[in-house]
Amino acid sequence: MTSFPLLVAQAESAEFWQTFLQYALIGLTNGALFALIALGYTMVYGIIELINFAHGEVFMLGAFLALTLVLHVMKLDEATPVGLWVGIGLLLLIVPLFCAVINVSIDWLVYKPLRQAPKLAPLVSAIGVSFVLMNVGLLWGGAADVHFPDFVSRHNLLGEDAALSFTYKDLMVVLITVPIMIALTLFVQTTRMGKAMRATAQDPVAAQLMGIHVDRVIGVTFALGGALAGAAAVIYSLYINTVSYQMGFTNGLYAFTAAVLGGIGNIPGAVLGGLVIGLARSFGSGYVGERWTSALVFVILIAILVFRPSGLLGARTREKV
Amino acid sequence: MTPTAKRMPVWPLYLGVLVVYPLLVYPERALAGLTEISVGRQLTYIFIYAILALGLNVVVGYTGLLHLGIAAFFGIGAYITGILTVSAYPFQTGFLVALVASTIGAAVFGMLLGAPTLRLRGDYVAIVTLGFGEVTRFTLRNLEEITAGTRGLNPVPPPQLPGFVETPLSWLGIGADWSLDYRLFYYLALGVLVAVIWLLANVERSRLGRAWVAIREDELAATCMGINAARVKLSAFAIGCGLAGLAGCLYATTLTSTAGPDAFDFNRSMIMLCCVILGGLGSIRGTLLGVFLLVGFDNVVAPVLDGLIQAAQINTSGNRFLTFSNWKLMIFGLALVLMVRFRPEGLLPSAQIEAELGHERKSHRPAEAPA
Amino acid sequence: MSLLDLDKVTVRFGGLTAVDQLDCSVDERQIFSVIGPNGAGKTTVFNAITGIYHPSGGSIAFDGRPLRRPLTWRLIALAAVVGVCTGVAAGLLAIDVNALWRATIKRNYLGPDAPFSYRAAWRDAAGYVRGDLALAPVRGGRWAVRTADDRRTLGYGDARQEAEQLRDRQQQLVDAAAGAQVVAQDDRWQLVADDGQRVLETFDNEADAQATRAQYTAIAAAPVARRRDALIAALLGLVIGSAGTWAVWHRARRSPEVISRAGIARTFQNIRLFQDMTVLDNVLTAMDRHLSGSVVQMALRTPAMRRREAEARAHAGKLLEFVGLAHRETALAKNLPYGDQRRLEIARALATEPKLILLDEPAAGMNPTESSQLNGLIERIRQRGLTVMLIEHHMKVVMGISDRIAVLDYGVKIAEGTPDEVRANPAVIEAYLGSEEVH
Repeated sequence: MTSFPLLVAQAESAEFWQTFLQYALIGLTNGALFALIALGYTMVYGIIELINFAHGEVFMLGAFLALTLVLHVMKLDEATPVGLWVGIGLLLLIVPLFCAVINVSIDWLVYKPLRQAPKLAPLVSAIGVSFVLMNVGLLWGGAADVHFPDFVSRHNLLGEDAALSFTYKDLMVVLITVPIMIALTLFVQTTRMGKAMRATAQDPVAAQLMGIHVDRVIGVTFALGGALAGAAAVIYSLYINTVSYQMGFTNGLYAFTAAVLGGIGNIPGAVLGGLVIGLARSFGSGYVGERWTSALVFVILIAILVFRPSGLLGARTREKV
Repeated sequence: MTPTAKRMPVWPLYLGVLVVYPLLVYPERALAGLTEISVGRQLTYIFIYAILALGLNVVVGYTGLLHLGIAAFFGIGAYITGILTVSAYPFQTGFLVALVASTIGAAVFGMLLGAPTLRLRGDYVAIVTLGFGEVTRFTLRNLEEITAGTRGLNPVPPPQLPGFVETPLSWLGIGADWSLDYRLFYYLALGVLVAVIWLLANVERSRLGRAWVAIREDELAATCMGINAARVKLSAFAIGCGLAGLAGCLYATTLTSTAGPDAFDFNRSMIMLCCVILGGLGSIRGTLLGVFLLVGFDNVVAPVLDGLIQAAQINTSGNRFLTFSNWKLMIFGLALVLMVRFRPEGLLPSAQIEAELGHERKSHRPAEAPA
Repeated sequence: MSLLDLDKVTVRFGGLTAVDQLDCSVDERQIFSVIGPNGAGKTTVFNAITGIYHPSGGSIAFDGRPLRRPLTWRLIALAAVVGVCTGVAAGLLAIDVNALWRATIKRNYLGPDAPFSYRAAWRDAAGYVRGDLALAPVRGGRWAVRTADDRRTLGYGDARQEAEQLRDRQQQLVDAAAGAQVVAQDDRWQLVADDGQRVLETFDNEADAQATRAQYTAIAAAPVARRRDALIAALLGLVIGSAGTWAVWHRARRSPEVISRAGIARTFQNIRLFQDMTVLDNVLTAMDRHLSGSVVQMALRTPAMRRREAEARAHAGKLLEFVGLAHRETALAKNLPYGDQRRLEIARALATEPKLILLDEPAAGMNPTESSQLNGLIERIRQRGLTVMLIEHHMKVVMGISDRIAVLDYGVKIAEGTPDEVRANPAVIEAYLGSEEVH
């Protein structure tokens, strides 16, 4: 563990603020990605109180689909810029659709028959599904890390000599995640289906009595969550350039932690949690040491659960007696 | 009481077979020349994993807390044993001290982990234990000066036998050299397993066992009856994780190494969870059966099948679809999903749950008569 | 005298007020009924009393005391211990536990033949924290002089004594480097300590002298920074650990088990038995806090433990007999008929040995015979010396046995008095008209 410098002592130097801002930028960009995955966890939990462990694996399969499409179907390369951008646009349509279909099928096949079962049952099934999907990923992509073609330039937008670095890649993440999150919020706040989702989250039985087709609402939730995971998978692959069958587990863990941090079931909470996790990771690797970041994130999770048991933005829930 | 209640218990038969097996079949011949696997040695590991799974069963089965990081405590036990016994460090306390220290150490870690989460929503236990499992693995890797990083600590020395044990063993034809004769470990693990089963069966029938199940059945009602839910859950965590530490100590001693941190990853936790669920939550017999089937499959059947595939020269090109080990996750995952869907009570459910299902099946054993 | 006092108890859920400013007092050995239309907030009152909900306002006193977990020295000690543990852990990580281990254990343990001195290990641990230079054995029987964190080697000695001398000299340099000055003297450059007298080292050119000074200043500064970081981390750990313990305790101050231990037991409107446990075990579970014995005794099943278990079973059997379930001891709770389940809940509540028992609609789902037997049962519970608080819709039950009745409507108490007074109260009749018939 490298010693972490006293922030106050160094606060005067401009260099300190430059690195600080740089870490903050990296943290927010990564956090936006985590937030996108976390939304899928939080929406499903909000509706049926299930930790969908398979969500991370859906994300992973999305990345493998993107890789297969890029390498073997579209045969994209940097030589044809127009084809490249059309291709990436297509990826952003096909992969989310694919992930949505997988997520909805999982719900129909596995979770739906267990709606009335004790709470442990769907949770354990979700773990089982996550194993099955992980195995699919293993067979699809092999055990080793796979390189994803590096299409987006690492060119610094702030000028080659600028002290801060904000690349086209970072811009891409922001340009895709922020509109998606805004669209999702608008969808949930304003549309009929969004209202039905919020009603079902409050009280499924009452929602059913009010004429809401609860099963359809759950289906739409899973579809939306899957689509978000798919979009995240495309961005992740283009941003990180490494795809592996274990990426669903690790990123899913971070994303789920983000959802819990923000208050599970709460959509703005998931975004906030994602950003907090992203910042914690980037500042952690900068000031504490790369290899302790996951421990740091975990300690933050525990501390927040101790002091704010329902997360940063979560409301206290009361048990029905 | 139905007449079948007076049926002879079958467990002495199983125990007898397990005690006699290594005396009759020794040395073992490799299974049809396919693998180097020794069944006796693998049985030793199955006993150790059975202790681990029984620990998990206390937390998940009795108390209903979904613990997804049991392997971390298994690892903590193994590493405590390693640090206390390897010749690279000055402590070299010997096996018995290490056994006690591993158990208590893992139990303390379990309580530290459990304490902040026990008054929270049930699902949070799952995420916190899962995260803790990962963090433990990374920490073991990062504290490389202490844990030797990815290599693990070795060699972990075998236990010292007192003279009065060695002599009768030599009459039975069992050598006193642990590295040459696996049967010493075999009987050690079997003995500890039997002791653990006996102690757990006692706790199950006592005040604490009832409180565990009451928390699982209805936490709110249990607390309204004066049960301190936090303390009861904490005790489940302490005992479950302590047993995992105990198993970890035996594991490191049998393997003569702590193995690397990656031996204690999420997959190990999941296999243990599969064992408990397959066998039957909250059922000691079920858990034992689950371990026997799944770990046996993982450690014996899968390598044998891979050996068969190789021997038959089906997969000369190294196609990953044709390697059996590459399908393991799928099989475990499907087992979980199908069990939960079609037989949620497990293969050998606990006596109570079985009694409840009794009217559906004729050949059942009724609830254990209260003593 | 009054056993339970509610003073302006208010329970709000978000914007909804379920119970508003309820004043109510229950005397010892009374049968006190709470009636009112559905949604009047009756069960919410019970939940507030038993600690399931926290009242948004007002106070609840039982036996003249507030129902709350008392602040004890044990909690303060626990918070201190947890704080110290987290503080030490954080401090160790910040000071680099890897390097500390290397300095204390690895450096002092030279193999199975050489004796290991724990005192030397402690000394080296302190030395590491201070940042003292250390000796480390290297190949060929030689010794290296290293900085405390092993990052830098400052020289070698062939024999231990030689190395020790080198270490002491280097240590002087480290200690004096920060205040030292480079002074020109006869074509050569000297590093002079801050007293202006002591010459620490002589160099051929100024650059070397300056570089050496900078190097040794850095070596002296590293442990200071490390100590500072460790101290901050340790303090953070201490604060978070003890504050966290306090926060967890604070949230559980009014948890249901505290209320139950004070002597209030309850049943539930929608039966909450331990479904997969036997009838007898349900009752035994409620006797939990009256059974003593440690985990070790339970695990070994000592004779004393067996005796206590047998006594508890006998007592539980009597309770089951009291409610009329003696013959169903080994049945699973979920397999009992509805009326039996309600009576089992009463037996379970009685097993906690309460002073006050809250019955939430005990007659719901019972047939007329059963509900008339229930009157007798409640009366016999009172004869055991208990106070009974009752929520009930069956007016036959309520009017037949109650000493006092409180009527709730939309969370507000609209009437209280003897059955006859309540029956005659126009406000009560109005509240019930159209919503529920009075039998």
